[in-house]
Amino acid sequence: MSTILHTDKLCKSFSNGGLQQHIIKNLDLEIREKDFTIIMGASGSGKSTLLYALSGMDTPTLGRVFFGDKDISKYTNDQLAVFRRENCGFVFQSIYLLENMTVFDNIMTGALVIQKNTPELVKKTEELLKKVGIGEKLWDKYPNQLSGGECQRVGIVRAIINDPKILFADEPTGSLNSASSRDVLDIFTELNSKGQSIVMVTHDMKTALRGNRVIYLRDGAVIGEHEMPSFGTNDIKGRQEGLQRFLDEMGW
Amino acid sequence: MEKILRLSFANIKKHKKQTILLTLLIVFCMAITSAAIAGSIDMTSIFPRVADEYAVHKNALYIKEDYYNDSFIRLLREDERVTDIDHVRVLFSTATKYLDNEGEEQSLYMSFVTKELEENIERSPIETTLTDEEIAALEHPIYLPYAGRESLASKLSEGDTFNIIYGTKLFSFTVAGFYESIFMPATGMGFQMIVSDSDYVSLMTIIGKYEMVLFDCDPLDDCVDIYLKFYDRVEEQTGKDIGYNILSLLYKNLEQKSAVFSEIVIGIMLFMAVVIFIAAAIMIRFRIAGDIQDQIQSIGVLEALGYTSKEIALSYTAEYLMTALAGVIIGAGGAFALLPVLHRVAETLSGHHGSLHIFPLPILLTALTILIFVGVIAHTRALAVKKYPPVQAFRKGIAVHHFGKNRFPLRNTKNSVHLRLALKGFFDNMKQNISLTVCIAVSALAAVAGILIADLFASDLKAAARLTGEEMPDQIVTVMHSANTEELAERISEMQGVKRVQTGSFSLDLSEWMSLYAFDRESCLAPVSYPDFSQCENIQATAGRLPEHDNEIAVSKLFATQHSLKVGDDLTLECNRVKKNYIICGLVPSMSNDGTNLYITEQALKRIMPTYRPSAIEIYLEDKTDRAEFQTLLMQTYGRSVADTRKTESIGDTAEERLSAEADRLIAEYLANHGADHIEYSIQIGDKTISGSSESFAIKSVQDIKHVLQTQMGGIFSTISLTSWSLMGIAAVVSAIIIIALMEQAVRRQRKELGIMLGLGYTTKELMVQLAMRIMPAVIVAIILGTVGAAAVFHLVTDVMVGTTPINIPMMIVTIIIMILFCFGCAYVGAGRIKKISVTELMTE
Repeated sequence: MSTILHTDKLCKSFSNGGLQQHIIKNLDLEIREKDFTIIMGASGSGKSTLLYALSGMDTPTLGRVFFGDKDISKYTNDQLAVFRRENCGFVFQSIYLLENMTVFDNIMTGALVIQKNTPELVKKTEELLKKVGIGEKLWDKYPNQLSGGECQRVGIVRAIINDPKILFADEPTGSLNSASSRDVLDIFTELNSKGQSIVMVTHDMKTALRGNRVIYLRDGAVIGEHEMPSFGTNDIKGRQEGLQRFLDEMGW
Repeated sequence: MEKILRLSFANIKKHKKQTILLTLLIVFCMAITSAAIAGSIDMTSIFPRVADEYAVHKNALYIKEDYYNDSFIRLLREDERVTDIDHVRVLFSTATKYLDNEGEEQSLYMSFVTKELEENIERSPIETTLTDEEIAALEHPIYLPYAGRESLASKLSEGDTFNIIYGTKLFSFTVAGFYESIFMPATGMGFQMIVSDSDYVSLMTIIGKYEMVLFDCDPLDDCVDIYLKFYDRVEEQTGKDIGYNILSLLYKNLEQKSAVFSEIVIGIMLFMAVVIFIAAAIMIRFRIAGDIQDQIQSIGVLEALGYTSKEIALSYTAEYLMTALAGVIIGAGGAFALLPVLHRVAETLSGHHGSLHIFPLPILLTALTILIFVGVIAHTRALAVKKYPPVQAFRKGIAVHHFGKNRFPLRNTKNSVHLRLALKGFFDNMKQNISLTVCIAVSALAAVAGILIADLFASDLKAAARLTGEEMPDQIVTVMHSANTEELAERISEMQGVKRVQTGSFSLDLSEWMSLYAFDRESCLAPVSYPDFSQCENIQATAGRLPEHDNEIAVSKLFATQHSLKVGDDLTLECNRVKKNYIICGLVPSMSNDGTNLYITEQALKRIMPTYRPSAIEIYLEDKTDRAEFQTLLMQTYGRSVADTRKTESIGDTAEERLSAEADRLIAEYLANHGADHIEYSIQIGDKTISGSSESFAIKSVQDIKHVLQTQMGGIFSTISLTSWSLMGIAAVVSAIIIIALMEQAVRRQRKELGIMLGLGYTTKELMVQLAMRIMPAVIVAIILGTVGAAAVFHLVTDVMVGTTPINIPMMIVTIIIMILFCFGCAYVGAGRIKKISVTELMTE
């Protein structure tokens, strides 16, 4: 599989009261196309920071991020915005739906930024909503009228409506109950099975099991990687044990 | 109290930029209001103070020498309210001009006195930079009113040459100094000038002699009544209409005149202040509402900690009171800085010099009023805190919950998603948009009113000329009584460069003015007569039509309003005890001569004044014709005078030339002094015949009415124009402040939504456009409302004052477009705060 994203000595620091905090340190990483990459690590290890640097949400302090052969680390904010809307989809722990817009408009807001409002787009939105289990009666509801799981499923549809080349997810099940989490993860799994590249940050092992590659971070550096067969294969126990062993080695 | 103030300071610190903008509005409001009020008191008191200090007598009457009779003094003295009388011989003319720095002739009413005569009129000290020796060395010294130094087209100083023109004659003087003239101090009223005894004698041969009757009375307010009684008794005694044989310069009228234009400036300033205050009030309401929404969780925490909602509301009130206090203190400083400027403007406009008197009470009262208003507005708005008990406040109220109708659903988007999102945003903020509409509408009203006023008083005086209700030919020729006006007009029309001519009654030479009376001699009207009004370009009837038949007249709109007249009413006119009835067929917008212009055809005028003959010729020149050259040629051909014939250089060397010169001198003498109306001569010398006629003495004076208007009103119009442009500028600044503040607040309030959209891939520019577009429906509606409102107010005011004044529609459309673009620009700049939003920070919060 070809590399969709890679970094070259990526560094990210934040200034806090005059003190520089180095969150990511000289990180070299490759993200492969069609992989379901999981980024794990303890709190403060730099998982989310890495995700935002990879996705063009943030710019690195030093080093470079390549999307294909394009160096996006030098992009301006507006160039990054265009890059994001053309290539990336995002699912967040806090979901971040637009509170003043209906379910349908939340998705259309993300779609219309690059697509024309053709009947096909409306149809595609309807199909995706139905596919993630959001029935027609909820389409004109506002986010505050939906449950957390329903909101996250709307968030996923919004993230994939533009057929992104890569889907980033930052603890997408962090604020959901177990049933809702499972439903959401099933959607991710299905998307990946159809060739969607996914990079997901999580600290939950059950969530991590959905991926085929786990990257472990400590103090802003990759200290280990674990490859697994795809989630669709039957050897669930073997996957679980393998991941557990890896995580134990990493000091999880 | 301390904790309330602590909260207030914390809020101020948090919203530094918005606080600065609000302070700026209050500074403007305070400075303009207090300066306008205090300045108004100072400006209106300049003339009374100057008159008290320098006037020997407070009232003056200029009576034409040939009309004056010593018995008039007795008639005036018989009024027991008259306490003192004096009279002096002065020279006075309305046909005089001067040469400005560019060598252009500028019209100016002039009166000439000697130093000795002046001592009977005023006791003003002379201001000069010249020494006594230098003044003594001057051949033709002249002392001008202060306006000669300050508001004349060519601002003169000591030692400068001041060229005065009367007809074709030029008199060169050297400015020796300046002084305070009570009765003729400014370009709008004319200049009284002090000349040497010998120059006075020279000028006396050509410039009209007037007896200047000076009087005092007690009470001073009765001066107008005393004059009206005197007027009646003089007409009774002489059996002749006074007409323009007596000019009155009465204390009450002079006081009013000296303040009238200052009052317009003050009025414009107060209007500005109201606009700014409305804007500030709306901004305070916006901000408090926004602050409460922003800080609702903090409010919950404070309430949970034991702060009462009253204390929290008071902290907001205190915040705005502190801001207002800072604003009024700085604004008061601004007012003190503005007052000398206003005083100077008043001095320039009135022509009088008085020391600046600053009245602190209006400044204090203005400050207090602003503080009270700000306190009340802020407190009533801040009481909204009471709606949120701690638990509800923790949950951010229900403000973030939406249950309303989904307007402009995105599935129906046809074109730009940004426009659609902007429209959604507009409807989501209706309450705020209504306030914004009010604010922008008021600002737009102020701006458009400013433009309309500025256009009306524009430097080319086109619009202002329209309001005179008089024709604006290139030249107005006043014809000698001896000449045949129609024949002369015919000959002038054949001159090269002349487009057309028309004869009429309108002359700029006051001595040629006629008068008709109405309402049993209560009103005096100045006939403006033409054989055919259809030839007129500038005189237009706004109601009815211009007169066509000999029983029709048109009056000014102002006169009609004053006397409740309308088209179709009868009006009885009187002239030399003859009365005739006329039908009012039209109303003309006219502000000149206090609206006393009476429009009447030649035929109709002859019904009541059978001896009437047109005394003026109006000349319209072709565009390419050089006006100055034409005027010189015209005067050389038809405008010779008695004085010309006395010039030795015009006599010549040969016997024929000497005879011809003597013949001309005799013609001039007979025309001027013996009432001859046509003289021809033919002298046989050997086989030569010398002949000539009075034809070359046909023109009394030539004047350019545009120059007169420019000279007399130019400075005042420019000041009003400048004030109006300032009004527009202030309105623009206020709009900009409001919009920028509103946008910044919108970005702050919608930080999360905007952050999400940035995350979704909307660029900052797209979001800035979206945010700016959100307020555009309100802005467009407001600007249209403001423009229509300004046009309506302008229409109403000019309609009452001078009749319907056309509004420049293309200019209005351009103004609307510029204002919309300006507001969009401000909104776009204000929305630039989006750039400060960090998506990552927002997502990782």
